[in-house]
Amino acid sequence: MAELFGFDSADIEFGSGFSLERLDWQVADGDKWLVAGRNGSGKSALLAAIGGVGRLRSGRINALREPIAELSITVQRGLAARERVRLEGGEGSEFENGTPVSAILEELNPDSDLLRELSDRLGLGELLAQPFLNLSTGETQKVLLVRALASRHPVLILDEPLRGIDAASRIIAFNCIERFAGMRTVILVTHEVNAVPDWAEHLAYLESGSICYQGALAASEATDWLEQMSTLTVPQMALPPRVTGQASLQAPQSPLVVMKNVQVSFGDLPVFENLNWEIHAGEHWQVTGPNGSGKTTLLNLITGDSPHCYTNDLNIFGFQRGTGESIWDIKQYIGYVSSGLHLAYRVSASVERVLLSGFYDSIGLYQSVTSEQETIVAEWLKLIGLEKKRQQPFNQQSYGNQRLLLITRAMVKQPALLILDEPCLGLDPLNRALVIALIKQLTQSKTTTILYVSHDVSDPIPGISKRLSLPLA
Amino acid sequence: MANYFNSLPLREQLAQLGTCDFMAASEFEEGVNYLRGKKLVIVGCGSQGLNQGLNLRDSGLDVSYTLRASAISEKRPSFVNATSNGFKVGSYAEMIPDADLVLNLTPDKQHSAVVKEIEPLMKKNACLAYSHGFNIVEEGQKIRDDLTVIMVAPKCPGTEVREEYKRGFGVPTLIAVHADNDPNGEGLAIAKAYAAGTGGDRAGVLMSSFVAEVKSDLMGEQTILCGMLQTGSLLCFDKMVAQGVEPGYAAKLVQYGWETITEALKHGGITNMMDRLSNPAKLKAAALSDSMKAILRPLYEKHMDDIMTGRFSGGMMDDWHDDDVKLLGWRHETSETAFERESVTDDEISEQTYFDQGILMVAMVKAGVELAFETMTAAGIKAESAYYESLHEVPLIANTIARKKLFEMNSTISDTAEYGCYLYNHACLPLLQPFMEPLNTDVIGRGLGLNDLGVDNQELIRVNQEIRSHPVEHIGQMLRGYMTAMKAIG
Repeated sequence: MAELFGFDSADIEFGSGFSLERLDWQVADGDKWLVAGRNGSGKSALLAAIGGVGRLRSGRINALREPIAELSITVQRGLAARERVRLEGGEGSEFENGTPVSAILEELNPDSDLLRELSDRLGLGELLAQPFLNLSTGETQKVLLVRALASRHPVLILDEPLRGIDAASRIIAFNCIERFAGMRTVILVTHEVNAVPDWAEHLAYLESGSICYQGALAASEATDWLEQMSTLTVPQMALPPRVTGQASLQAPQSPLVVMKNVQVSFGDLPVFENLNWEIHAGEHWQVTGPNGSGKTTLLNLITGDSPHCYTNDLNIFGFQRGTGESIWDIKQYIGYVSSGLHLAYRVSASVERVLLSGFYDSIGLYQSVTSEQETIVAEWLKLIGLEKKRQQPFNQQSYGNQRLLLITRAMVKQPALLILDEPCLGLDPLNRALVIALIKQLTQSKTTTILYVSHDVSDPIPGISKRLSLPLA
Repeated sequence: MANYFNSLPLREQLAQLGTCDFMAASEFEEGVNYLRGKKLVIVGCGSQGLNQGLNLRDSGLDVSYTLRASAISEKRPSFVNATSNGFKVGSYAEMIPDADLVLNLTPDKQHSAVVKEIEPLMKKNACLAYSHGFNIVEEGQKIRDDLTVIMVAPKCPGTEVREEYKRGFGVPTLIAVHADNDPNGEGLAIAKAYAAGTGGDRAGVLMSSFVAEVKSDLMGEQTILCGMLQTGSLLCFDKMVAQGVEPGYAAKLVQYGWETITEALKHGGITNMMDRLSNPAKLKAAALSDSMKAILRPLYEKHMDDIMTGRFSGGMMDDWHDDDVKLLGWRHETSETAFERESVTDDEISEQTYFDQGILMVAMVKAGVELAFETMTAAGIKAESAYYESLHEVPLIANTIARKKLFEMNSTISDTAEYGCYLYNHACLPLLQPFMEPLNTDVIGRGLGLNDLGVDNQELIRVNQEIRSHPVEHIGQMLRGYMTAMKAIG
């Protein structure tokens, strides 16, 4: 087969300061590659380089000339940013509702029959008329998957295609990918070594910006590399101390959360009807449910980020909502991470300052910090192995490392209520094990109650015993 | 109604124009307390209306909306905005009589009609708030004597007001109390609590006056902000294309160039923006800026004079009554320009390249900011106001052009700003035509391309001195200092 694109001893530098080094990689028409490596090893950079991003310092690039259909965080962020622009009505003007899912899908291939079929299989049929930005994390991922697969572009880039997709849809998504991979060239990136499809032929394994192994995926050496990614053990650790003297250290009233007969609907779509729920201090909860069952909406009722918290009977940390309390009164007791927060964390700040912002519940840091807070943050950075990145810009870290940092940001104050909404999306197996170990430690700390949200029911977290299972709305 | 400013004696005009003081953070220690338990009713639910309301409610205040009966019965977008966010919405007759604070957040043009309808419904001793004082100052609306009249003006689009609040910050905000309507002496307390409720206190609040806000706001938006950026975009694009620069590339350089170069302005004023150029490019930009300032000074003075005398607002109100013929014609004309219609290249342009190849754009920003600032302060407006309405807002407007060129800018700014931009552009284009004629792609589109970056020491010292000693740099350094004390960047 003819070479479709390739790199010869290429050193490529990116705006973030990251560089890919001594890149020797040739991809032939119709190849099926798995690209793997730990968080921060350069997987996204490699995908960007395929798309022509980056500055060639030395070596040679045989650039790809065919159009790419891509499913990745980069694409998702680009579409979300474009939507926000469209939604930002001018002074005095009215808002539009935003682009519907169907129009987003049709951008790469207007074949509505095909799109309808794929959408139905993944359970998106009802959502086609909904504004794209209203979708949940899992639903968004499904839309981007359908959009990429249905395109006729000869090169398919799938960066964690099953990220956030619920258990019921994973097999279907997996089969759809196989069907549409067909004769196309596919570059698949995933941390899920247990879910590598049979049709993948080659492995490129990255470490610190270089491809340290490439060859047949079936070779035993390939298996060794992949196993290395998941079998390193998490070292023993102790949590850093809490800060002394912060108002939010006073334990709030228990029950922490009381919801009575909660009703929420989006337009005509009911999400909750007569939901009753209480969270007591020390009771750790796992909330599960398929994509679109309202998991994030439920959390937003607690954090105060949903306007529906003013139209329902909610008592949060002893504050009856809508009686003169501010959202900052509520947030002082909460540590929070989600895909939504990750998307919203778009300010320029150093890694250290992002963690410090966890003490103030802000995106960016607007208040002066104490030396005690700085010491605690330094300890957390050490714990997650990113102490060397302390002064680097947050927004130039890899997606996986950003996620790990935001999880840590939620933990630094060891809040009364720690809310983790699908925290591990995008983490490599080792970092995921690290986060689970931290959660386990926190469940034993007596100060922090945990609310862990995941679409995956078969994903028990040690130390968490209560379950709330949401049906599809 | 008669122009309020013109009805004032000179000493009052000067006193009100010269009001603008940075308020200490300690003045906001009471937060929203003064408004706690009071009923806030917002008129209008567009960008400012919705987003200010969301912030005020999240700060613990009791917020609801009132809309024209037709907006409610036809479920217009403003109605959907309010109800889908869980707010109570009612007609004027239902909502206004119980309100302690009525926030008029409708567009300028609707103000007099709205106020005429709601004023008789307002209870005794209630408060009427604006976010822009055009109605009071230019239209000379008289408000019932028992009512308090205040202004809280966030210096950002509504969406930004919300986003910054959610981040735990806010946007710089001007507040004012209308001297003719402060019967109980509580105007300032209400304005401070309102500003705190929108998050403005975290980013810095300036005590202004209705007059200072209106006159400086009008001047800034029609000259340097929207006017200069629009005129500059068209001139730079057309020049590049005429000199053989690939149109897609030229469009990109202009569309994203303003945002990139004014980002430097945000961090360190004109000084830092000029410092981003090589030494020869800086000397070139300084010389271009000097020439443009000489050509444009009479135009800036005319805009300021027309704003002060009320001639500008009079002309615009005539256009309102003429069904916006001029405004709509202008909007259409803008959409038809070559720059607006060109699609931009996918080629990457590095951050530094925007400076190196955009020397003329840097010069235009420098000339426009300095001229607007000089003209405003010469007319009696305080340096603080002049800074906020010129230099401070340039990056915000540049962001809108980066999003979707001039269309986005013109749809984000108010109709008032757009009308002012129309006047400026028509006068400025022909004035700059002869200046543009001899220019080449070395100052716009391709860069100087010098191997030898040497310059004369004395010349460089003189230019640096001139840049750094400009009064907009003095006040800018001070105000940015206050802001960064609150907001640590990076």
